[in-house]
Amino acid sequence: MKPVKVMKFGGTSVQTADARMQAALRVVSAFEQGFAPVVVVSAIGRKGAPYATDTLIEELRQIDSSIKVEPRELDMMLACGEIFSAVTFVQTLAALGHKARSFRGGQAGIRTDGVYGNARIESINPTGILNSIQRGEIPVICGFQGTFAIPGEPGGELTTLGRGGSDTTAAAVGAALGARAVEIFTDVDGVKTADPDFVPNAPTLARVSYEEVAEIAHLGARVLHPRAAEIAMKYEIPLYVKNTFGEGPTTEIIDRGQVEGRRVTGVTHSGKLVYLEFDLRHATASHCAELQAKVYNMMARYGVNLFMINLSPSVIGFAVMRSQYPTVKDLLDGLVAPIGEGKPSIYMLQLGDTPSREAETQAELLGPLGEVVRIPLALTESCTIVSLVGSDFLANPKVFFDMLRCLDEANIQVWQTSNSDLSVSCLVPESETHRAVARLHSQFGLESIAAAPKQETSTG
Amino acid sequence: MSLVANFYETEFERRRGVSQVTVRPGFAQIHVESEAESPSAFRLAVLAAVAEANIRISMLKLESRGLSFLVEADRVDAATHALKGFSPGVRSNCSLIEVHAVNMRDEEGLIARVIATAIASGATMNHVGDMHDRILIAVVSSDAQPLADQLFAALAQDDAS
Repeated sequence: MKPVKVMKFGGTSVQTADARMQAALRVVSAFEQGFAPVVVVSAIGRKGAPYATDTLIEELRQIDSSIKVEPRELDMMLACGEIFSAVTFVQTLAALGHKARSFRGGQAGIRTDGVYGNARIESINPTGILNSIQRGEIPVICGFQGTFAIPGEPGGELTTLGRGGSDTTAAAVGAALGARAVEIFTDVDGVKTADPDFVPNAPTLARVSYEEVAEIAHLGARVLHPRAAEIAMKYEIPLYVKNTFGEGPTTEIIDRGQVEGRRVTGVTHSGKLVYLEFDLRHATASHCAELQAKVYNMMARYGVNLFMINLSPSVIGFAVMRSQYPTVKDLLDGLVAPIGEGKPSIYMLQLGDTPSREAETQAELLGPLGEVVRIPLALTESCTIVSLVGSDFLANPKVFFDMLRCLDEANIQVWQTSNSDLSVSCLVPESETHRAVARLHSQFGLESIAAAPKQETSTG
Repeated sequence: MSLVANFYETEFERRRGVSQVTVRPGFAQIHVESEAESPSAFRLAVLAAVAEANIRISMLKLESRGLSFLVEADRVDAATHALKGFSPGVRSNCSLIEVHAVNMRDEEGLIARVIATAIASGATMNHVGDMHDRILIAVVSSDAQPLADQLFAALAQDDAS
């Protein structure tokens, strides 16, 4: 059997007829080199494109924005984007004289759990894909989707895999087929040491570990989804990130043990954040922990993602994505928490120095029950997280000092830090993101890191 | 022989949610503060002193009048010596709890759930960090194993149900 190469093309790689032709020519080239290419495609284009995921969601909202779209129906709609993309790609390959066949996720044997919108792949039966290869076809699989088996319902239920779903499909199909390589094609050269919009000369990394690339994605960079990296790591599938539109450098994603020495790999930055801090000094000391737990439970119940948590006894502090801030504001401003046995103390969270009309009304209504203790909430509306990512670099005792001194010398305020085994992060003003990333990139010598070679040399 | 016969269905992704809670002992927390007008200059002076003494730190937390961080337990004496001009406070016997949850940023609310559970346990905690597949919590060692057990019981069971 020919060695299998899984080739995944992201939205911008299939956005236009020209782009699809370039992508298809890469597939044909792999075929002619003796590989059995298996293609995975994302939906066509990004936000605003007619079949992009965001556009499809908007179609449903426009019917009546007050009616919630059921998760099952949303998945059915979202799956259309990849189906359109796959069939279009099949026709492009046909125009180049190659037999190809499109597969929905379920037809490709991808079985998931039953969580609509964020399903996990449980198994893959690649029989259909292999039969297609045997017939001399090029299978083209819809990324981002699978099927959840329901007893008594032979067709099963269509599910989507959530963020990074097409990368995850590619890695999983590669593992199921024992692929020689999984290639993730996008519109940039491999994995860069920083966002090239902020550091134009940021080199492409020649090699990066599965863990590093997962951490880079976790901290905000759009490279390879951590789920895909994890599957590739588990099944030891060689993974490459390449540019569809050029012969520029390629990044090879490898096992951590193969990464040489301690090093900083890159600088990342998160999206726009809002930092919230509640001052608990007005609360009775014995009530603080319960008050904190109530707030965090509320954030958990409504699915709020937290960043940079401050665990001091007299403070509740955390950052949230700006897109989630309206939800957080609705939940917390005016929230009333009675705490204590017998005659409980009544606490009310208050956003800012002046209470909202709703909060003031709440306080008046609660007045007869006893004193209402207001817990003021201070907001920092525009902040972001910049991070250093690397392998074993925290063993260097100077890392924290060098990072904070670098930012201090640039007069960039650092509000808080956190770290893990693979990263050190600083919360900084959003307006300083560009300068912070560029300064750190220079401070840690990333512009001179060994750059990746051109494409042909990597997959052998 | 059929090509297909060589292949079997394969298990793939790990279960969502908390899969494991582990305790990494062997740390001490150093706390330093000052009335200095410029906390950033003060913090840099402290970090320069520990870096100069070749002491590895983690879980650095900036506080209104200073900072705190963890050092490996066998480096406490070296750290206090390096910081003798700063009157450091030392909390011996600290641990790092690692709550493992693959790709946890996509599991909305999971981090808040971990923190809520940890606070409700009454454990003495100092700082939190996170990475793509785990949350790290700096905690007093005497609270570490009970907290790890509680977190696993509360969260792994939740996720399995």
